[in-house]
Amino acid sequence: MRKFHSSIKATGFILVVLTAASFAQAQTRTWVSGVGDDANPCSRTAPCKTFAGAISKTASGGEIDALDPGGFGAVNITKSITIDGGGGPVASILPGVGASAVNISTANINVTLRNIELAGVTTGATGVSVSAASGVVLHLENVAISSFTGLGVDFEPTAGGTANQLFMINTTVRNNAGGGILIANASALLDNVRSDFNGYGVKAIDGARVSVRDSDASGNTNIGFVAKGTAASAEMNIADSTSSNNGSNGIHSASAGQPTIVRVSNVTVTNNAGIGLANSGGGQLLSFSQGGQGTNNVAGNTGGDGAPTGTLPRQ
Amino acid sequence: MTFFKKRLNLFLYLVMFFLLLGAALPVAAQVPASKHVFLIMEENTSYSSVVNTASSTTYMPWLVSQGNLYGHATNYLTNNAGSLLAYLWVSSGSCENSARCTLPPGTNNFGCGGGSCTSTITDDNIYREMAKAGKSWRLYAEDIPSTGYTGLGQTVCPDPYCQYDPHHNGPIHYSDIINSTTQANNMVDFSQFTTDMNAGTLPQYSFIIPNNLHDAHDASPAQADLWLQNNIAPLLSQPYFQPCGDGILIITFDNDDLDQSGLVYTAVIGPKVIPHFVSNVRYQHQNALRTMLDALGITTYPGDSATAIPMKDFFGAPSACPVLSTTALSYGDQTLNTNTSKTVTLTNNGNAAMSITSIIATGDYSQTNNCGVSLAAGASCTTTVTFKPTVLGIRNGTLTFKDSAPSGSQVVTLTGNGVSPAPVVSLSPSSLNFGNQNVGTSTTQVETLTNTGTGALSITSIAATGDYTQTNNCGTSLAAGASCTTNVTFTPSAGGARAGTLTYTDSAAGSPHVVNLTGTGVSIVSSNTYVSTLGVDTNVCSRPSPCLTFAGALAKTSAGGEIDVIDPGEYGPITINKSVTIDGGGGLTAGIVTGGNGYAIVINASNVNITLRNLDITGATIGFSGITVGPGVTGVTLHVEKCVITSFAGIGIDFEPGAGGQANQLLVTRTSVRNNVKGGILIANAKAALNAVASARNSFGVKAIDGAIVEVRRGSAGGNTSQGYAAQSSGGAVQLSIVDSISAANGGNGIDSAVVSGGSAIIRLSNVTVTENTGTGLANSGGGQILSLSRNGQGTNNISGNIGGNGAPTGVFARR
Repeated sequence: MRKFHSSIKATGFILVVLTAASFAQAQTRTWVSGVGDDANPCSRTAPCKTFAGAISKTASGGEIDALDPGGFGAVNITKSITIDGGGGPVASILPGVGASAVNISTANINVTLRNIELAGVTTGATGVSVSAASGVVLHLENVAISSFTGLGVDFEPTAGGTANQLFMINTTVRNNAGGGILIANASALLDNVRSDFNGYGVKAIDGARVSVRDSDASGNTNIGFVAKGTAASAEMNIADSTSSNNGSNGIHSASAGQPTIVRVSNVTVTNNAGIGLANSGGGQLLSFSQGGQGTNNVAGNTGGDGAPTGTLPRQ
Repeated sequence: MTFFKKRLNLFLYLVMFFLLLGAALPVAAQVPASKHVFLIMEENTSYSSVVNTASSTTYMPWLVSQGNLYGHATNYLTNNAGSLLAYLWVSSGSCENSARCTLPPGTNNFGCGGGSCTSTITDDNIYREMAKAGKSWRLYAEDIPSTGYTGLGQTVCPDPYCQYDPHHNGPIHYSDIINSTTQANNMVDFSQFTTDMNAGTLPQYSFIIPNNLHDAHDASPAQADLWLQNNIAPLLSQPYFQPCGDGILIITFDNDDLDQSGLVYTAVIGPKVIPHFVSNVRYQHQNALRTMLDALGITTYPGDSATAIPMKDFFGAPSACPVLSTTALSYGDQTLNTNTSKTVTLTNNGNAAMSITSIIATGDYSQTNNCGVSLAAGASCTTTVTFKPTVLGIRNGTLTFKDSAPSGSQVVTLTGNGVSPAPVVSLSPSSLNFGNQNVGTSTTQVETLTNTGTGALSITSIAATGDYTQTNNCGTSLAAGASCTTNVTFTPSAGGARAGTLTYTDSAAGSPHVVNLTGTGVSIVSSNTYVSTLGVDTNVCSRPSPCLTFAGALAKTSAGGEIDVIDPGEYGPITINKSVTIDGGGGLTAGIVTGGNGYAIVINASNVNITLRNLDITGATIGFSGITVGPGVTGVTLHVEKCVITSFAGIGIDFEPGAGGQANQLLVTRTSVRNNVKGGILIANAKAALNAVASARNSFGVKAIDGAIVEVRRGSAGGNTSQGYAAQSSGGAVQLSIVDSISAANGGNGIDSAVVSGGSAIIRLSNVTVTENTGTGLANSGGGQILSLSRNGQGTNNISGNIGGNGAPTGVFARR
């Protein structure tokens, strides 16, 4: 008898939930939980199971939040959205073999990933893949991206130049075989970012304008920071940062037919297997100077410390 | 069969014949039954003296007038000389002395004379018979020394009881009274008579003996008459002496002027006495005794009363006597075509059945009754008269009984007023008191509205004011006689008395009808409150009983207290009016989403110190502003720690308090402010410190305007559509110091110092990277200054790669 009553109550609860779902298709904030179900409306009391399940029920400009630790699956982002895993629990995405954890292929959207772990576990292809045409804004805050076979962050919109924007704050990109952060055709601001033990640390290529502050590129198998203009110019500005223990050059300005500039200020470049400050193909590597003297600490690199190609007076 | 039928018909004819005969024959006169019989015995006055109008001392005008009005006997002869014997004749129908009279059968010789007997009388008497029949009697003897006094001797004046004469007290000579205290105690002073009369407790038989000054014994008959007028006239105003009453009063004398057997004046008074009756029949005291016995229903007759005829000629034949309970009915206002009923009782107080010919109500009145065609003596019947007005205005009518009483008919006048149908509002209870209720919690009471009128009630509105809300089932119309209920909910918003009203606006007289609402808010605040997605705002916001929203919790949080979040959730926008900390918890997503044109957090109180921590404040692109301060408040200190403020259509943090300048302080730490269309952080009229604050993709990153002194450390301003960091004066002084920070890839200038209209703007930079901005790296206008911290005369900032040119500081300041 008691059990029968319980069943009745449970049925009533489900009916209520279904009714609510029918009225709340696109909410400004949705929720996922390790014990959720994508058939749910993704509400606080009836959360979904995956980010992919939640995004279809989240309004453009809205937010998906994680209620508890869990793996919430790969997601193809097609609208402006914030995905926030929450500061305490570990909300993670483990993509399938050869797949991207987060794929952004829609133009003119503004996406935030926050408090999330993207785990490639050595089989996923890319952590965050941006291949949209243009107008993509991506904020990564307090995100860990690790162990992908390809790139940690592959931010390469196909058009639009610096109308595409990447903001990375308090984020770690590590153990990604293909490389840590690749940026093309966009402006980027990296503040307190660690890109360690990847194929390379941070690479700015055709059309990229990257500014780095208070960040590290260490232990990468190839270069720490690199700019390379092949089809279009590329620039990277690095301040108050470190490039160390990388398997190749510490900082490399590599022009391949297009102007390439790397500017450094108060950067420590040391213990790299290659050259500390390297340039090739006419790429410029400019050191901010104080009193006629550069402000960077370049020493102890196995292939030689190299030198800036020029200086920029501090102002 | 035929034979039997003929016999039956003959029988019926006979019955009808006798019935008709009975109705037509005169019925013999008889003494009517009475429960109010009175006898007054006066002394020593002849008939001729009483009626002698020429004598101022013996003429008894009041007595004679009553005898003329009712009836009197002209041939009433007293029995024996000597007072006492007359009192014995009216008690036991005998002189009780074989030497003074021929003893009537059943009576014996007790040696009685004018003053005493030689032995106690044991013969039957009226007092014995009254006692046997359970009927009440009293002797009202003026100046008897005490109740139940049976002494035989008269005291000598100036003894206060000297006018009481035992010779005039019959009862004290009978064994019934002497041997029974109960019976003796029926003898009381005459002063008790008025008391009993006014109390309605007079006995069925009252024997009244005035003292020697008032019974014509020792004073004149005129004085005795005056006493009667003063003391007995009020008796005749009693109901039983009114028409149809049963009262019978006999006033007679013991003997003639010389205390000898002679003719005396005897008045017989009562409603049933034939008016102005004069009897010439020879009567004596035993006839008076017999008359009283018959009236009282005593059928055992002492002494000569057994054969004496009653004085029935005074009363004529039995007759009906109808009495109405009222002669006028007033119905007041009565709605057209509705009715109200009242009753009239008809009682036959006569001693003959009354046949009722008709009962008719006229006008807008109708009647039903249970009277039948005949009403027995002493019986009552009820007529119900119903008033149902057919037109407006005063409606008069009559209820008429036609019957066999001598008067022939009785009429009740009927009045009423026809009025239009109208609703009447009745509210119960007349006021509601909710008592004590915790602030922010609710309780409900019910008010009932009843339309006690006759027309439908239109209800225009039902509204509750103050801290009260209402729901009701009244609708817009309430039929006559119908009720509806209003649930009134009290949710005190603050402590103390909270008054309100519940107002019904309707079509009834007296609208609006107001029910006063009272209750007392009891503030329960604690220094640490909690919210949960499973909470409700009617809770006290404790850890085990959390609230649902920040706003709900704030009301229960003491100034300076803290609101904490139990689980991830969305806790709604809030207006903060006191010092408080709101902490979303480090491991949680505690959010505020602001829809429409709303504000997520508004601070509207002065002199407060507020901390917002670990909050995810989202405008979802439509909310207007994340955190808004001012302009009407001053003395605000706001800490924002580890928050996200994103996607507002307006400004992320709009900190513009009023006067107070640097008493206002903004401290922002490890916080992201992004995607806000009108700007990231705007500061005026305050001191501010921003540490590790990322301001990305807003209109501007950080802007200090008039009255702001702002310090930025380890900040980043990137991708904003206009300036990264800006100081802008429109008359006030503005200072913005930026250390160890970066302004990159903004759509306008990287660093912008502008004096728009007077005042001053100074930006100081130390180890700031300014690069990749679409505008100028370091821009100034209108005299705005950009000062670079210098080392050995050279600035310390990294300015390059800006598309609109790198610009330059307007000056340097030295490290120290």
